[in-house]
Amino acid sequence: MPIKTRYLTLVLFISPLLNAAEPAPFSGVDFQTGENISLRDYSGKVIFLDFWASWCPPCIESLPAWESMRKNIGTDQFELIAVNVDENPEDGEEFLDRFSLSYPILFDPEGEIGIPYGIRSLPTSYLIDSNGQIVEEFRSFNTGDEIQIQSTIEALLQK
Amino acid sequence: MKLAGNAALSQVISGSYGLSDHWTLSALISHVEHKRSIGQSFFGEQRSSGIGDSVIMVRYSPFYITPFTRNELSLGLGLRFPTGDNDAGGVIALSEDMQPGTGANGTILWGNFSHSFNQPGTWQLHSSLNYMFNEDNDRKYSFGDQFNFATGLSWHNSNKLGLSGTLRYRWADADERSQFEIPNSGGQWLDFVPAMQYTVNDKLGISLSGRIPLKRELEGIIQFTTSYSYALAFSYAY
Repeated sequence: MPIKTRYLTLVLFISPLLNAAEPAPFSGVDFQTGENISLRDYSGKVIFLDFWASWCPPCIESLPAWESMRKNIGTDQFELIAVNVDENPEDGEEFLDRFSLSYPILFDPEGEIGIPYGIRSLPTSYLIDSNGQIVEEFRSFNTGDEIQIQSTIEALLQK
Repeated sequence: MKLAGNAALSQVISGSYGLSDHWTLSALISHVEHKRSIGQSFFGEQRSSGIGDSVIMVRYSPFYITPFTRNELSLGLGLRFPTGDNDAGGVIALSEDMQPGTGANGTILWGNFSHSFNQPGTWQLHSSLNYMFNEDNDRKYSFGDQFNFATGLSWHNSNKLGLSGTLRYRWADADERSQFEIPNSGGQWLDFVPAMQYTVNDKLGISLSGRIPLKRELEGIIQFTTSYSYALAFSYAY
């Protein structure tokens, strides 16, 4: 005897807040300058570390937004480092042709930088304070997020 | 929502909390509504509604899909416990399968494996299985143990829209009262479950799915079973 069944489901996901943590050290060749750079080169500065890929739709908006944010904040006490995680780095390079970016960009096709940070989705960004501690993690990106993030960075710089 | 004919409506609220990168705690509570019309029966139309059973589950994921890894495995252990009535119907209680709750505890073993065919994860294979051990309720009635296996493919356009198709096999042992088998209970079901997901933003998602029967082998001559079902789900992450 047939029965029709209907379900209405509400699902909630809650993620725990990030506690301050030591960022994993890394080094690599800056795509912009061809020079070897490492996280240690920026010790004493506030760092915004962004992981992205060419197949990540929000990254089309986040990469130029980071450029504007970096220009607004300046680089005396701050630096922004972007890490591309495309399996095929050529895809990332082709993607970069769309933009005029000046911040350091590293390529990480094997996940040598990304895996220690536990990247699960893109874009994911970390804010590292001048004491070398990760103080905030940002997942995904919506237009306008860079304004809020810039305020957070400026507040951190004034501490 | 008004139920027509022989129908059941389940409203489920579930929540998950990430204890760590590998451990997740999930909880689920349901509200169930049943309606059944039996042809020339003296009792005519039967209805019941109320809070159903709840489930709490701990899941462990030794590895999961990321931009750097293609496979995901999750294993879970859950407890189902009664949070609603199982004596609806007044003086003459309705049959056990018409009750909102089972009135009994149960243990759930659960596993899920997913494989991503590419780095963005636009094409994925999903397989999951679970086994539920059911205990007796206060009327010495126990629903048959259940085994479910589902496998299917999903696609999403890495932006807003996702589609999936899943084959679901279910086996249920016969129900028992005082360890005597209840006739017309238990069997095997094979269903196809098409689903569509829409991601409104990075926090809110909506999904719509249906269950289309492909094959049934039911115990007994007369057994009430689901002909088809559809589900609407909202998810919110924060």
